[in-house]
Amino acid sequence: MARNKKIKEPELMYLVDGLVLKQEKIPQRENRLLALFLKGLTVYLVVMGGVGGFLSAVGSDYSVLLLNLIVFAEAMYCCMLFYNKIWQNLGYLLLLALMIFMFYIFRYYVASGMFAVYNDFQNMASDYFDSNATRTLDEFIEDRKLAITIGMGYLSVIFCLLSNIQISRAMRYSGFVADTIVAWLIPAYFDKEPNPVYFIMLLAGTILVYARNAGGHYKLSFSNADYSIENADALKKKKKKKKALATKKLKLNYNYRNKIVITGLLASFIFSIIVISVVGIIYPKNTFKSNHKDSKLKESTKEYIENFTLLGLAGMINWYRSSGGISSGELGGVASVNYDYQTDFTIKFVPYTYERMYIKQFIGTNYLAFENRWEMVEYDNKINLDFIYNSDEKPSVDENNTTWQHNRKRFLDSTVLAYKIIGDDQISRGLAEDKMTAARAVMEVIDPVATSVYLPYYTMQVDKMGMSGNTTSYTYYPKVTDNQVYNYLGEAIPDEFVYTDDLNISNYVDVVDIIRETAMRMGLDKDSVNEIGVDGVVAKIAEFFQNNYPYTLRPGSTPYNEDFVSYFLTTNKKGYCVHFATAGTLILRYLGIPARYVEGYAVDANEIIENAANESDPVEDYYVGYNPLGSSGVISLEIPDADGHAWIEVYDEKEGWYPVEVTPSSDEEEDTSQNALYSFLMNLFLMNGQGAVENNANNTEENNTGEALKDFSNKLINVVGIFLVAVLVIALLILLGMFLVKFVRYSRADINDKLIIKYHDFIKKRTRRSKELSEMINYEEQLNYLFDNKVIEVSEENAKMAGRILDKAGFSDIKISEEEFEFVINNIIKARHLKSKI
Amino acid sequence: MENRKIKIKPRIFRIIELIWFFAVNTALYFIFHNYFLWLFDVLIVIMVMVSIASGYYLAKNIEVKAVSGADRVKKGEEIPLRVSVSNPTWAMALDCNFDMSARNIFFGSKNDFNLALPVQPKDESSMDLPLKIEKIGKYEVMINKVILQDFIGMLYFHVPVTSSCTVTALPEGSEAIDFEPGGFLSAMSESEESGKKGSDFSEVSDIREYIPGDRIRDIHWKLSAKAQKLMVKERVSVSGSEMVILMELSEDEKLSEDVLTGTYQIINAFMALNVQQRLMLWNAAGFTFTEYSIGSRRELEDAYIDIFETPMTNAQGANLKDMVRNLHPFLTAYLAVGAKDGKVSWEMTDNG
Repeated sequence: MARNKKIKEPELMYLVDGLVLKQEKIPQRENRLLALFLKGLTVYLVVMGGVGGFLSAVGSDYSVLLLNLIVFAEAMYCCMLFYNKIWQNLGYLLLLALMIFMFYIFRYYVASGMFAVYNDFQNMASDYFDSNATRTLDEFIEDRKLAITIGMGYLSVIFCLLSNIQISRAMRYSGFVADTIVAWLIPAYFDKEPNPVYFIMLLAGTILVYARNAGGHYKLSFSNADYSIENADALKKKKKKKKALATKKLKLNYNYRNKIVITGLLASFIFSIIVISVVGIIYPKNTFKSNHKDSKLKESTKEYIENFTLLGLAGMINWYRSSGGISSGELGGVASVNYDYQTDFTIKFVPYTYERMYIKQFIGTNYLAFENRWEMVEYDNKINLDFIYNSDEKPSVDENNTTWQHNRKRFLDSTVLAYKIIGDDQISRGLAEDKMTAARAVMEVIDPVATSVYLPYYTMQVDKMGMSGNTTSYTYYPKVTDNQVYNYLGEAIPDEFVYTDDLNISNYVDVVDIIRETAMRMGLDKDSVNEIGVDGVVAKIAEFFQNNYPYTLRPGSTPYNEDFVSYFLTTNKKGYCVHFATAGTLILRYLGIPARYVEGYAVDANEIIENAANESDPVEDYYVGYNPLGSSGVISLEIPDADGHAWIEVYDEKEGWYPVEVTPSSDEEEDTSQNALYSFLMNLFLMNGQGAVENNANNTEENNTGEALKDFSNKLINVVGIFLVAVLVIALLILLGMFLVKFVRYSRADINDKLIIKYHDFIKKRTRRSKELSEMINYEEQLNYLFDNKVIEVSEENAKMAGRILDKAGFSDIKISEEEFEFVINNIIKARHLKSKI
Repeated sequence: MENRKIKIKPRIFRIIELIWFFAVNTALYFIFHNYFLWLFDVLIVIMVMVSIASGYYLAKNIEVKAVSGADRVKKGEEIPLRVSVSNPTWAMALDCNFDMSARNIFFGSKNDFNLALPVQPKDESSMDLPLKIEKIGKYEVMINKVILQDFIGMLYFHVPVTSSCTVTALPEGSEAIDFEPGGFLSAMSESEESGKKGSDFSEVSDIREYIPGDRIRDIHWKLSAKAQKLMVKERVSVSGSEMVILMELSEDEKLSEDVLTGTYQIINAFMALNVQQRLMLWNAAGFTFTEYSIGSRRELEDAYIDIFETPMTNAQGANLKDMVRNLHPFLTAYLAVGAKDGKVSWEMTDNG
C-alpha cells in the first residue's frame, strides 16, 4: 500500500576486499545530445549513401541539396528518439502521424516521384537491352526533379528508421548493407555505378559501424552512465546467464566517448577518400571496363532479366502456347495479354498495299461453347511432314492424294483463284496478264516454339509449315484491284459451310439466344444482309462494338463453367480481338452469312513504314505484276507477338474468303478497373487517380519549377501547421489519458491509499527541487525536513501527528478515520506555503 | 620504441565474418563485373592491412600508468585512482582493455578486474576510478597487461606494459576504543620517568624539517630562526625508558584489523601524553620481533606502512609472550594488545 519512493542503493562493487568502487561517483561526462547527433550522422551517411547512390546510378535527376537535407533531418529525428524514454514512446507516435500527414499532403509528389524513378530505371534497362518495350507509369508532376526528391525523401524515412534501430541499439551493419547492396546491384547489372561521393559516404558510415561493433562501446543507456560495470552477479540479474558464466572478473566498460567516435568517423572518411582516389587514379573505371567483358553467367541471364525488368513477372511467363498472344483457338483462359515483344518471325516481301496485311495461321470453323475454343473441322493434329519443304522446292504433291485434297478443302483457301496455269514456275516466267499479280513472301521463323503455317493472302500453299530456325517461302496472289476474280475451283461449297440456325451448336440453346439478342440490339436480323449487304452488316456490328464494348488487353479470364462468348456479350462487355472476332463470327452466321474465325498476324502500314528494313534483293524475285504502290522494294519486317490478331473471314461466292474486322480500335480509353497492383494502390491512396491526372494535367501546362516550389512551400506551411495542431491534440489526449487513469485509480482506492496518493503528489513536486528531500524515504524525515526548512506553516506537533497518520495509512492494515484524513490534508497538503525555494 | 614482445590473438568470428563478406562481394563481382564491386574488394583488403598494421604499431608504442591520488589515506576516505593510456602515434583503437589486479598486501586478498578505455591518436585517455577504502592495509593496484584491438577488430594485441600504484590505508578515523593511557603510565620504566621529569636520555641523530605531530620540545629553535622555518632534532633513545607495546595479531582478519586499529589508537593516546613508545610485532620470517620506535605521528604512520608491507601471516606467531621473555630479558613490562573473546583487549604484562 505504501507508495514511498525508495532510493535505490547502487550495488557495492569491490575491486578487492576493502576497496570499493563508488559507482555513483563515476563521472558522467558525455554529452548525450552530441552522442545522439553522431549516431544520427552515421545513419544519415549510410542512408543517403544508399539512396543517393541508387539514384545517381539509375540516372534520376533530383535536387541533391534538398534530398540531403530531408534525409539528414529524418536521420536526426530518428536518432533523437532515444533521448529519453518519454520521447522515445511519444516520438514514434508523432513520426507515424507525421508520415501519414505528409503522405496525404504530398501523395501526388510521392507517387509521381516513385513512378519517375521507376521510369528512369525502365529507360536504363531498355537502353542496356536496346529494346523499345518498356512499361512506364504515368507521372503526374511535371517537375520530375522535385517529385523524385520528395518521393525518395519520403521513402528514406523507412530506411532511416530501420537503420537507426540497428545502429543505435546494436551497431549492426548487416541490414542496411544488405539493403544497399541489393539496391545498387540493380543498376550494377546494367553497368551503372553510383556517384563516388555516395560510395564514400556509405563506406565511411559502414566502416565506422563495423569498427564500433567490434569495440562494443556504443550503448547509450537512459541513465547516461559513462561506464557500465559488469560482474557475474549483475549479468545474472539481467538474465544473461551465458555471459555471466563467461565473466570471471569485474569489468568496467566505457559506454561512450564522443571524441573517439568523431575521430573514428574522420578516419573512416579519410581512409575511404584516399583509397578510392588512389585506386581510381591507378586503375580508373574506363580502363576497368575496357579490360572486362560481361561474365558468361550474366550473359545467360540477360534474356530473363530483360523480360523481368521490362515486362515484369508476367513477362517471364508465356501466356500462350504458340504465338503472339493468340493460341490456336483457345478462348478466355487468361486474364490479360502480355506481349513479350520478341520477334516471332520475319517476313521478306514487296509491299503492295496501305491496308492491313494479314498472315493466317489458324481457322476456327466450329465454336465449342462452354469448352471455350474454336476447332477446325476435321482438323488432323498430325502435321503431315511430307508437306514441309524449303522455299525453293516445288510442292511435290499428288493432286489425287486424298490428304492434299482434304487439306485444301479444310482451309478452303481464298487463294484459289482462276489463275491461268502457265507453268510450274509462274514467277520465273512472269505473268502476262494485266492486273494479275504473283508474289513471294519468305518467312524466317524466330520463335523457338513455333511450328505453324504463315499464310499470306492468298496462297495455295496451305500446308507449308514454318519451323523455328527455318526459312519458308510462300507464293501468294495479293488482291490489288476490285476486278480480280477469285473462283473456287469449281467445287461445291462444302457441307460444313451450310449453316443451320443453331450454328452447329445445337446443344447449347442459351448461347444461340444470346447471339440472337445481341443481333437484335445491333438492329440486325436475317433480312439485314439483303437490305444492306454483307459489308453493311459487318459495319453495323463493328459500330456497335465500338460504341458499347471497349477494347482492352486485360479483360479478365472467363470464369469457370461460363461460356466465353456469352460471358463477353452479357457480363464482361470488354475484350480484345479474340472476343470480338468470335462474337462477330457467330453473329454473322446467325444472320446467314458464312463466316469463320481466323487467328494469325496483322501488320499495319505504319509498322511497315517505321520498322521495315530495305533489302537488296531484286524485286522481280518477290513480286511480279501490278503493284498499286508503284515501284516498291523488297523489305524485311520483324513481326513480334504484339502483332498477333484474330479476325473474321466472310465467304463470298466470287471473292471467296476474305478478311473483315469488327474489333474496335485500341485508341479508345482502356478500362483499367481490373487493375495491376500499382493501379489499385494509386486508386486507393490517391483516392481519385483519374481526377488527379486531370487536375494536374490542367496545371502542368502552366507549371514551371518556380510554381511547383511555391506550391510545395505552401503545402509545407500547411503541413507544419497541421503537424503542430496534431502534436497539440496528441499531447492533450495523452494528458487527458493520464488524468483519467489517475482519476480512476484514486476513485477506486480506499481511504488509506487516497491519503498516500495525495501526499505522494504533494511531496513529489518538492523532491524535484530538493535533492536532500529526495533522499529521505520515510514520512517522518520528510515532514521534519519541511518543518525545519519552514516550507509549510505547521506546528511541530501537527507535523509529527501527520507523520504518524501517514505511517499508519502507508504501513499498517488499520484504516484511518475521516478525521485523520482531513487532518493531514488540512495541515500538510493544504497548509499555507511559506516563502521557500522548495 | 622499446622491444616489446606483442602477443597476437585473432578474433576468429570477426575474421570469418569479414571473409564471408569478402567472398560474397567477390562472387557478385564475378557475376556483374562491376567496377565498384571490385573497388569494394580492394578496399576490404587494404582496410584489413591498414587496421592490423596500425594496431601493431600502436601496441608497440603505447604507455600506461596507474596513479593513486595519495599514497596514504585514512580508512573510510575516498581516493581517486587514475588509469591512463598515452598514445604518441597517429593510430587509434576503439577498445583498449586493461587487465588489472588489486590486492591488499597485508591481508593477502587479491582480485582481478578489467577496465576499458579508448585510445585517441596523439593523445592521452584516462579514467578516474573513485574508490573508497573500507579496510586498512596496503593496497596495490597493478596494470598487468593491455589488450588492444585494431580499429576494425580483427586481432587482439596483448601488450606487456605494466604499471602499479600503492596506497596505504591507516586505521585513523576508525571507531574509537575506550582506552585511558594514564593508568598504564606507572608501568613505564624508570628512564622514561626520568625523561618526563626533564632529563633527556636521548641522543640527537639528525636535524630535519618540522612535520606536524612532532613534539614541541624537539624543535631546534636556534636553527629554526636561522633557517626561517621550523627544524626539529631527531632523537634516538639511548635507554629503554619508553612504553613498549606488543601487538598480537589473530588468525581472523577482522580481529587482526581491530587489533591494529586498537593499537594505533593506543599509540596515539600515549603520544598525546608525549610518551615515547616502542611497538613490537612478530616477524615470523626472521624469527624475531620487528620493532618500531614511535615518537611522532609520522613515525607511527611509517611504522604501519612498514607493517603493511608484509603479509599478515608473517606477523602471526604463537606464545609471543615467551618470545618476548627470551628475546628481551631486560624488559620489565609491556602493554600487550591482542584479541580476546572476539574483541580487542590490552593488558600490561609483566615480563618477568
